Amino acid sequence: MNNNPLRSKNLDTEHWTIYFLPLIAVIIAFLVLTVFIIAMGGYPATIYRLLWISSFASLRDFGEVLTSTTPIIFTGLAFALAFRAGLINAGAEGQYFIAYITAAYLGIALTGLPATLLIPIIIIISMLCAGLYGCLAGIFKVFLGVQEILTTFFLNWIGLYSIIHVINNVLSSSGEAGATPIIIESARLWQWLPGSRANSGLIIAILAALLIYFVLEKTSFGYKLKIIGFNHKTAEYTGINISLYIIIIMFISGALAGVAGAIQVMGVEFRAFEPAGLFGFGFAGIAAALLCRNNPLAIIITAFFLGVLNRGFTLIESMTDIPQEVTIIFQGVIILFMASEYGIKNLLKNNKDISMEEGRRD
Amino acid sequence: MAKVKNLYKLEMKGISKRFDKNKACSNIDFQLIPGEIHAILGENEAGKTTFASILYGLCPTEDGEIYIQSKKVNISTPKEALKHGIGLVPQEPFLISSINVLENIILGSEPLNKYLLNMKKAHTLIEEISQQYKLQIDLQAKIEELSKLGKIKAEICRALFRNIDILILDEPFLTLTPLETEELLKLLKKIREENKSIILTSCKPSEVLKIASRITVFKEGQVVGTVTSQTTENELKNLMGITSQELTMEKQEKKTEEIMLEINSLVVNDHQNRPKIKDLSLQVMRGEILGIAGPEKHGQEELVDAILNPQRALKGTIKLLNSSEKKFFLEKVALIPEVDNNTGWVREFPLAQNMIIRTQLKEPFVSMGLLKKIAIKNYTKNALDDFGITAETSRFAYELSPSIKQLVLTARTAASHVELIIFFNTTRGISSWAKTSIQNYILQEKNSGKGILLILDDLQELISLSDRIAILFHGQIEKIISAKRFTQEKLEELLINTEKNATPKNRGGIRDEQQST
Repeated sequence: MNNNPLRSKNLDTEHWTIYFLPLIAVIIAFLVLTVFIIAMGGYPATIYRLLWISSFASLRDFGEVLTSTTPIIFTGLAFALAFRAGLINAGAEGQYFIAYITAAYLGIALTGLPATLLIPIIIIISMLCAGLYGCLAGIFKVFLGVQEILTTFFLNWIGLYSIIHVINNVLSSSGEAGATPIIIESARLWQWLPGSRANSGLIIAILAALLIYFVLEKTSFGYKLKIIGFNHKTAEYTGINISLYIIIIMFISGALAGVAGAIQVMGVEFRAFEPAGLFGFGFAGIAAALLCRNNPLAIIITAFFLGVLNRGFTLIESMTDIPQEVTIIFQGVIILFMASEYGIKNLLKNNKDISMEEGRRD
Repeated sequence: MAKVKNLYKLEMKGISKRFDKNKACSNIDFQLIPGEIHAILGENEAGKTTFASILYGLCPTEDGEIYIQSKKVNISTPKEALKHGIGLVPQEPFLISSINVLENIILGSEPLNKYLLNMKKAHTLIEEISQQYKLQIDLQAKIEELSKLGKIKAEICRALFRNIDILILDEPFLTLTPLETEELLKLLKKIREENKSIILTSCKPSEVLKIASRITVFKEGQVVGTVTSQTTENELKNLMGITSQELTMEKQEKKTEEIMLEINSLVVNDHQNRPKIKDLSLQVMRGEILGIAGPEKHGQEELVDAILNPQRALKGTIKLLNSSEKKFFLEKVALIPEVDNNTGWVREFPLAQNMIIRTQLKEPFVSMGLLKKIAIKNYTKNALDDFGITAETSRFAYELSPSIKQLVLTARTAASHVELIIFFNTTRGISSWAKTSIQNYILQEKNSGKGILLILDDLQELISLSDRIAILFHGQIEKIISAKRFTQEKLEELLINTEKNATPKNRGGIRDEQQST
């Protein structure tokens, strides 16, 4: 009943601030960031000027921003797709690692194929491996009842230490420590902006966003996926095999995160480096997805925004005392805000009731 | 003259409350005499629950004034309401299922032993109250083991423990069996004898006449009038604005021998794997309405689940027109559940996308894995038009009022070509015009030769619509009777006897015997 006060609070009509919540989240995140910059002895004006310069001063810088945008688009899509089905994939990073090492291996192992064949093969096999890694969490959920948010999160660490082992002991290059040999020429993506590492991976990312949008809005698969996300009882009533869908969706989500890893090897680094820890692509993806309420097309924009910050603060770290990790604080504030959207709605709703009553008495 | 003022235990003046654009209550005046049972009667959505919540501080309003024994009070939280001696038994009891009955009752004013919880003292105190009012509550029981009456009793006990003077009950009789209703009536009388006042809301004139000394009638959020119990049922109906709408459809007596649905020795467990349906067999003929009567939660949900998806059956067979293929069931069986049950409904979807759930998820609305949005939109428009619903197809499902929601679901079922329709308390809690419209639809589908399974807790409605009525009790069919020569009283009596025979020791008691085994 709509106006039954004993049931859950009526959130049916939106308060205007809800539409601007992402904007408010960004503003508050910037405020928090500023406080941290001051606390660490930096001058906010200088830092923000550096942030601008490092991203937009030259084509080369802009290309670097695009390079750091690409993986966030993919991890964002991975999170958004699962989220629409009511699943939380907190393990995009782990799935990324699996594809990262797979692509690095295939890039040296598969020789004698033309680039037009080799590149799709490497991407697809990396996606498969990352997808299988992702659907592990789905399988655990369906058969053992373990929350996917926990399994995906912990699989990040298993992924991280597995690839560190592989890079150092199995695929180590003869000359350098902590890196695999460089992949062959025909396995590399096209770097189209001279002087930067911007590559054709960005085009794949934009196509992927369009594809996911299409799947969610126009196909019966997307329709069923959303039914599962909104109401399990209705999904059952509709005759959807929920368990199967959960495993498939976790597979696709993992595969999406995997493309990011493959592109990092094939378009940016041309080899796999031993990671010092989690890169934070998974976390950035969550922030990018939540900031646009899991809209696959808008993720391109939010990922670009976070890409600017990532690129900027990597450079700022080398010039000042401000560590790169402040971007994680920024993303954290955004996630906190967008994840509490429901509670904020509720708060606004109550105030609105009262203010309306007051308005009427005047 | 000062004495006249003191006459009222509680007085409310000019109470108003609105939700968004809808006015739920407007300018309500209400007086409560000490020691009376005062019923608030009105149709669904007339503002009864809102009124009760305002009084209990659940949805505070700035308009209007509340006086308790002529003293003006401000009630904006339940805590304040309790302080002023007002307790509420809500329609859906507010009990926490992870703790037991005793812990629920003392929650919020736990007896302490300095700083620690004193369970022993709590137990004695509650036991005393229980003895005084003859509540017969098992204090150690889990909440899920309680019947509906048990939950109401626990809520009442909680209120009594808080030492209230005014007890509000919101639709207490709604899903009770006849025997439970009798017991609750007795309990309420006992509470009144202890010089406490009772306010209860209801939508049934016949019920309130049994117990109330005065009746205030609500209509569309306003008070129509207050009458004493010397009134008649028809007079009350007039005040409520129920014009006794006759069903336009006639029940045709069609004798067909074709079996629509056949269930043989069915066994189904619930999601916690507890046995719920035990060796159940029944048949629904083509063109027949089979009613199902029985206490709540005696396997109704599981029976419906199994008919919707035969794979839920652990043992036994379910056949629709001699087929047990899952795909056939998906296309040919539809459910219209009660308002608050969102099975088969996605609140966050626009209406158009809600129309193709289950039965229509196929050509021409889905082809080659793509949704055909234009076809879906036109189909929705036609289906709604056929039912006289003017809502836009792009409106979100959550925007609909309960009555319209039920009509949209009915329109959806009417447009799909199903063979068997399950109505599960479809008409509960909606306004009478929507109810009539749905009842007409049920008869229309029967006459056109479909099979209908009707699960209803309103016995009168059940008898007037059904051809046969099966009594479902502890997951088994106790008896199947012909509805033709049956009256509501006879059916009530039958239900009471079934219940008495099944639980001789703990009659109407708090523990559901089946679950404790």
